[in-house]
Amino acid sequence: MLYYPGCSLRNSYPEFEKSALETCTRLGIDLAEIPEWNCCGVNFSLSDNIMRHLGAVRTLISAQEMPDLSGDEKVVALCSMCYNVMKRVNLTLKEDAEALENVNLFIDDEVDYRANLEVIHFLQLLRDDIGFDHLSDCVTVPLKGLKIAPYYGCALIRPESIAIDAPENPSIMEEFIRSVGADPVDYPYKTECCGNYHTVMRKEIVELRSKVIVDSAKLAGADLVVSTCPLCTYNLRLGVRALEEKTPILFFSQILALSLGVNPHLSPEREKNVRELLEGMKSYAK
Amino acid sequence: MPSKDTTTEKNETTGNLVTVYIMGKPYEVPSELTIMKAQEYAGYRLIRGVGCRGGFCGACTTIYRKREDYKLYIDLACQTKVEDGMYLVQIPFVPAEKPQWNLEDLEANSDSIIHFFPEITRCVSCNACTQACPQNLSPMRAIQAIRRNDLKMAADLSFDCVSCGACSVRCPAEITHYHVFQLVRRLVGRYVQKRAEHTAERVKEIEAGEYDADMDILVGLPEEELKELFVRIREGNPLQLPEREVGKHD
Repeated sequence: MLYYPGCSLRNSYPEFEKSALETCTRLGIDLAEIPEWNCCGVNFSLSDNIMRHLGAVRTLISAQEMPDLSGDEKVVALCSMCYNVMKRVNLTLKEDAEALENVNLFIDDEVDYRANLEVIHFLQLLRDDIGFDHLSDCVTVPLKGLKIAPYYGCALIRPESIAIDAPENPSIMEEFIRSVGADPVDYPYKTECCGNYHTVMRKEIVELRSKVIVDSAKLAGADLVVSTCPLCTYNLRLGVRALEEKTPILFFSQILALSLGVNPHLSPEREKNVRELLEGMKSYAK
Repeated sequence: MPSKDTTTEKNETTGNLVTVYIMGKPYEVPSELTIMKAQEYAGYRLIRGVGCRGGFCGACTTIYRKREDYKLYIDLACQTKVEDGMYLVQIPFVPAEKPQWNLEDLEANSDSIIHFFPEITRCVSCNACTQACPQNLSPMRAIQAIRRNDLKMAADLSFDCVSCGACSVRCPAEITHYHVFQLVRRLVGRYVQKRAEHTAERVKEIEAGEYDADMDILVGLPEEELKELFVRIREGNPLQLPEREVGKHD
């Protein structure tokens, strides 16, 4: 499986990548990092001009040229924003022959992209390649009694053409949460947008939206919220702070790591909080 | 051996002339000259766009096109031979604001660099910078290495940068690569690379006076002997100082 880490995991949230890689070792998933991958081009994510997405194309070419490939490999991303951008670019190149030709003519310093790779998100890997049933067999520390609110945000399910699950009412994260032994919490804001890049110039928009999302999850009984996106995580934590709350916002890979008994790489400010939750959970289980 | 007269040599080469265009005007120049020499041959006295003449300083970056060729070329005038039909223009420097930073206040990570140079996040990976580089470096790969938080790779990739700014002129994201790369190399040198312990040891030895006696001998040598010694060492022989004649230069 070819692996695309993305910039946020190497800079802002190393715990996302580190915990995920620990779980891969435990689950026997062999990830080969794409050499010299480029930024996915998330700043231009809403542009449908393919010339704004040469970073993603160059990354796909680099992946395509890795040795010993069978020809129909999958590129797996952890960050849902990276997934979204890479998947949409790849889809455009697969479906639009003219776009593919234009890009290949422009990038004359590289070999042509043959558009035969598939871009998937790590959750799809767990569902389709490992299987949630098999995953729950691998769980050594079931998170029994822990109430987890899945937060999808936008990137995993919008636009519909790249959705990893039903965009109106996805359930892949709930299935994932059940497979690690925890209880998924249903709440009406799981697919609401967190405010995304407004966090740079209009923080109040993000605070407003994140407060509603976190509050809704809390009201539904959530002990914590899991996310697949570094920016959503950052924004939801703003909401938690604005509410003067303590609800941990964790990456889904950290929950998986906890359930597999490997290092979840909790940051110091969340470590105590989450450990307390887990202690409480054990007494609940008794 | 009789000394060569360079003026007659210039005139002897008139059999092989090419036409180049400097500031839009055609000039016939000998084909074996570099662009810089050709400019001087044509009568220009260079006070801008010239520096070390040895391919290191980046001052003579020259943009040109060739006849019936759509490509835009960028090379150092002191390192590139003229070709027939070259249309030449020079940019003495590329204006770019250099933010002030204090190395001791920074951490060696990509966030530090993005703080001062947020433009690097606008890189669309078009690679126009690489095509522009007269040093045949890959500025795009270096910028992307920074995004991956691989500062070591970015510093290595940009090590031969002469700060000519050709990449920055071509960049659609308006990145000022040479300022970015300088910060990267400073950060890597200060925080990532291993300290050169042997240098510190040598400084200590010097401060302890271990080389004072040898230095006295060297300073006291007559010029001819010093020249001979230099040649011997340059040929790979170990340093062997002549016995010091006591009191010679005291």
